[in-house]
Amino acid sequence: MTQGELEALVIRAKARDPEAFMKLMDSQMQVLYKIARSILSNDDDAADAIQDTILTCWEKSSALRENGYFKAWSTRILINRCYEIIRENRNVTYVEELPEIPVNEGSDAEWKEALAVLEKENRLIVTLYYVQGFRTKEIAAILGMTDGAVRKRLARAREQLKRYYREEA
Amino acid sequence: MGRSDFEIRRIFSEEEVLPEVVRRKKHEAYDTIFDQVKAQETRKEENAQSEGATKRKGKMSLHRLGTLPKVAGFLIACVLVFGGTAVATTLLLNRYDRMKQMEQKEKDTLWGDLEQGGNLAYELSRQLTARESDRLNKLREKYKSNEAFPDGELARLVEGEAYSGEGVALCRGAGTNGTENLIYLPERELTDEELLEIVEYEEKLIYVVHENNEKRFAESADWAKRLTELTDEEVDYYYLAFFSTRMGLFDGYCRVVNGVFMGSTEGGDKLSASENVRYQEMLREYEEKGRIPASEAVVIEKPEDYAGNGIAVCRYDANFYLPATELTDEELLQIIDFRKKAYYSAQRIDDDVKLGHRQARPSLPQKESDELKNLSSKKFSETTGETKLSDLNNAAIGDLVEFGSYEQDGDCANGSEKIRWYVLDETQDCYVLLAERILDDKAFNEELKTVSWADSDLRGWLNGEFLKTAFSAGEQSRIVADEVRNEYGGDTKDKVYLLSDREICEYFGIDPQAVDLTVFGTDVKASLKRQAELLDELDPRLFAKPTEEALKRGAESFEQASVDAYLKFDKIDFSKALGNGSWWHRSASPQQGPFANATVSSGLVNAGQYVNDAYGIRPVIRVRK
Repeated sequence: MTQGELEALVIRAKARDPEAFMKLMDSQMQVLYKIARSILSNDDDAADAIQDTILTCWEKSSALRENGYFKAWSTRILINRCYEIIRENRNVTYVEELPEIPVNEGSDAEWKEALAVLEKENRLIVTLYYVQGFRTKEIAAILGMTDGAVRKRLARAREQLKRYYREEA
Repeated sequence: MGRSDFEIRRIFSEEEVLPEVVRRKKHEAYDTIFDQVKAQETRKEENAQSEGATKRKGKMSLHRLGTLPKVAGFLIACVLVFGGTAVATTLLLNRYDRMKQMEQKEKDTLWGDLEQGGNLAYELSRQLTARESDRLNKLREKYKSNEAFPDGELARLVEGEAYSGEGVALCRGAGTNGTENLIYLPERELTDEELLEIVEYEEKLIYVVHENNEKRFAESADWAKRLTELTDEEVDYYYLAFFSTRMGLFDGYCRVVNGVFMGSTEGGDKLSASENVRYQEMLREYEEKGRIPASEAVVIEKPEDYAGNGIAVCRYDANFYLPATELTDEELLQIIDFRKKAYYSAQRIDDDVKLGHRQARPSLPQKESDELKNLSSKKFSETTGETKLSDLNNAAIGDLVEFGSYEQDGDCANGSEKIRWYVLDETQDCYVLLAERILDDKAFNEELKTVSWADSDLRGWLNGEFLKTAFSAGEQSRIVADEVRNEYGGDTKDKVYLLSDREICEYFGIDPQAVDLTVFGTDVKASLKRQAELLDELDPRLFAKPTEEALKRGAESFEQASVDAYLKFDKIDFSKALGNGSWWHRSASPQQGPFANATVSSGLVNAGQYVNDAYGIRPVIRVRK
């Protein structure tokens, strides 16, 4: 989907066209899932976060000023929701104790394998950079970090991936 | 072999079937939304019925505006839709001309529609059939490419006027709750003319919205009003100073202490904590009290033009160059003022392009491009014909020559192979040569740190080990150790060096203002598509393949698996990039951190590669005639 097509759907979605909205969310579903899974450790929590994000985006879509920022905006809503879920889960499992992402849960997708290689704090940045295609400056804005910090983490993550693939080879 | 950025991107872009739980929760959310909408519609219908409104029955559908069309580059006469000579006359105008022909009265009426309907909305008296929707979309595309326009326009009904049942007619406030605007549709299938009238109505609404953007911005604050008073020339000036860079990053800071650019590790890329506090204070003063700087930040062309004092905006990298000293209030105001003007200018230019007032965004005037041309010869780019292997003593620009030798075929036992070079340029005394292929694979710097070409490990290796390995003593004596003019970090004196961003543009005939050479925009797919197109558009000699030996040493090349993956996942054909490798430039911009630029497999510049990553080496030498 081109940026233009995406924006066309955003405009229609903002005007409360449910079909356009669903088409829009469907086009983002892979990305949203990968982002959710880069923060949360299981599909159930990821599914909850995505469901809440869909409803929040629908309710708040008129608050989106720039149609071109839909991706960043929905990503931010999703990330916030994911962290809320972690906080809610704290009563049960302390966040540091959350299990590592199981490599083979549901599928043996290569990206899950790659995510599992990375340090927890770098997974989200790598996903935003490679899956969503955000620039480091945009990631910095979404996560409230400096551009330099994003680049440093990305560098570390790439090193980890490279090392992993070298060892694997 | 390590995995390239392309490869990692491919892995993460891999589509997979979403887990059942995710699909279920998604559908639950969609059901909730549908229920909400249905409940809302039922309420609306009940209200309408109770008010005794004489609306047609059937499900109302909301129709909103589409995106603003892109600038149409051409005009195609299409008589299939209408036929006849009258149509041909209509088609002489493009859609923007049609918009511009609107009289103020019509614009006011449309604005009135927007105010009445709110949220850019109108409703249709009945839902379009699937066939009509499909035709509407197709006709919208034709309208946008100037292939089809309506002969007439949407009829307007005054309040209370009955709809005749024929043609399409708009009645303000006849929609839901007596607020939405309603377009009455005949019960039969809509004609092309009727659909086009709806399309044009939408287009006109969008046009009016954009035209009013500026007005609304001006009314939002005094400082905003001041910006709207900028002339078109001023708008171009601020835009070009800030957004004409193709270096990928912009709007950063670069502090210069004793003539040295401070990198991010030294905090040179940001304001100090106390400056940040005062920046916010000044921003309030600027926005709320109308405080403006006494003078403006100056615009410089290149980082080395910065005098070391005051605030300068550098066109090359769109950074604010700052003095070593704590910034004064005046200097902070200069930054705020320039930044506001630059972003406003970009917005205004975008609006102008969308409204058809401009064909495209401005680019640097020809005069300045000519100045850049003088930095080096442009002739190489004009020799794109067949490349012939020449004798170095009698070569011409664009020829291939052999000089020195290096292990290339991956078989050390048979000795090293002669190196082939493109003759990039010639002076009275020497030739400038660029290796045809990627000869090796090295990091720009072993340690991940802010580093300029002058201090890089790669420069040391090229002028040390590589020089000794590739050239005999006699050959070495023919290589000129001359000044290399660097964009960053001071000039160097090198025998072997790499091309800079600017030299690449010059030698390969690329106008950096016209071709965005940076890889990966926000829209990955669009960016990939553009890269694939550029494989055809750019000088093929810009693309280089690693030698067998370089591949052995870890050089990456665009592999068949990547070609297949892009074809499969993105439907983009990268087969022309097959075998191409990535190679370092010497353009490292220390003030932006530990990064240097490289040309990637598909010929584009990847601004900001980590210096400790290994990329291909395509050396440049100057050989005495």
